[in-house]
Amino acid sequence: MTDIKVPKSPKGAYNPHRKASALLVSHIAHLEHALGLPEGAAKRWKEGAAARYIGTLTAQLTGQPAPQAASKPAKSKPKGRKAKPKPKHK
Amino acid sequence: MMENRSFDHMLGSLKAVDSRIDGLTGQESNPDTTGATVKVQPLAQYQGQLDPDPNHDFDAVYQQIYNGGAAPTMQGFIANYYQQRKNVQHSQKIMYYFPQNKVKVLTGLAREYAVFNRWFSSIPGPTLCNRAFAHYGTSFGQVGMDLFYLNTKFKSIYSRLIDAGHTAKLYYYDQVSSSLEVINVLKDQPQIFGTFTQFLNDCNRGQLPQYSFIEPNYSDHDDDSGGAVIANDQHPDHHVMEGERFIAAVYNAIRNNPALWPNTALLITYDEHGGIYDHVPPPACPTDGFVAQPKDTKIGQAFHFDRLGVRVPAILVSPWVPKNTVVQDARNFEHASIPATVTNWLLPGFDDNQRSSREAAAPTFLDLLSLDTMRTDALTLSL
Repeated sequence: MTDIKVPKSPKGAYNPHRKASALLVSHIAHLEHALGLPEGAAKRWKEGAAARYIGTLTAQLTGQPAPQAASKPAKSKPKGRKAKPKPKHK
Repeated sequence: MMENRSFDHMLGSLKAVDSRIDGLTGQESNPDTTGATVKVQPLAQYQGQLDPDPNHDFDAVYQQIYNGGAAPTMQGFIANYYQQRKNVQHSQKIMYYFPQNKVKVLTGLAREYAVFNRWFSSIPGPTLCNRAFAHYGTSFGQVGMDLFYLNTKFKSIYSRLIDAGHTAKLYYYDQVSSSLEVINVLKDQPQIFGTFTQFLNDCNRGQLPQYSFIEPNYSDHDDDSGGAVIANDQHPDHHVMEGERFIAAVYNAIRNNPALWPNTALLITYDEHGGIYDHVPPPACPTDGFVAQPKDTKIGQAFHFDRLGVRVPAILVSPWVPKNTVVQDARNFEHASIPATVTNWLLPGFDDNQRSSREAAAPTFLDLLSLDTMRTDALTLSL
């Protein structure tokens, strides 16, 4: 029986400050459309901020509590790069 | 369903160990913008190499496939990627592929179970229109990302099953990653959605629905406790190893429940190639009754959905699949094969007028579960 050990990704793999992909920007547009909100997809999103906003919109759409970290739809470029939290390998 | 990697990029190395697999010989090439011939090389890295994200809009993929000619030669990948950074050396990286030992989970599963030589994305275009084929068997004429699924002509596979008294669920990774593609269903039928944590719990309790679709995490984001959750969708420039771990976690959740393993088949595939090189020209295919207009295709002509997109990895995992199966017959599988297979299995006699003609014509794959006796061996993936 073959056993493959799967290594963890390095801590440097985590980068919420990269520019949000077209995929995430489209995702926001779809959720805003479904909620009847004015579309803000043309904003310049960072990946982590876009994800938090997606979480907030998803909570509104499904009637679930919003994720705690998604208190505001931040979209601006961060002034300084924060220290990276320890990655979780789920 | 993972994100944005071509067959050759992930599995092309396997031809060296099994000549039945339609991977790479090492002689495949593209011209760069200086006219030099650039061969494929096993130099793909987990992260940092495909930045910026290779263009995979419809017009870009059209160039990758046709390179300005009339035949699908697969010679335009470097030329297309060059446009993004105007750097000749960087543009050549679109030809890189992973050696087998760098993606051990995917190549291990491919060797242990069934790997498809001819599974194509459904459209030569981006994510959302391709994912639509996995859920609806069509993209309703869309070749881009402007897909809002309102007043759809055909029901999703989930609605079809539930309306007929079956069970189905779409597991997205977490609330912040959310579900990409079926926003109307998320709004109207939130009860059919779950998170990846719930998927793991459902596997553990043996309570998976009859059909499940599992989405990876599409973003690097923090969780409620401030921890970092790493994207595992393998979309460039996300770390490929994290996707390996995600695939392994899904496999283990099924494999480790002895009541679940004999009764479950796992299909692992990718939505589209993400602009990355593959050597097999996408074949012509039956139309699906829709037409995308030139303003949407941006190639100066309409598209009749009469050709599939670039080839992607696809692996079928089950103890009823013979070890080392290579699906090498002439069938051209694509994402419409997913609802086609599930519908033919659970809703036999389903009215073909209630689904797209593309889906009705798509090949199905349950015939690959061909063993009379269940295998007792299995690949072990240790996280």
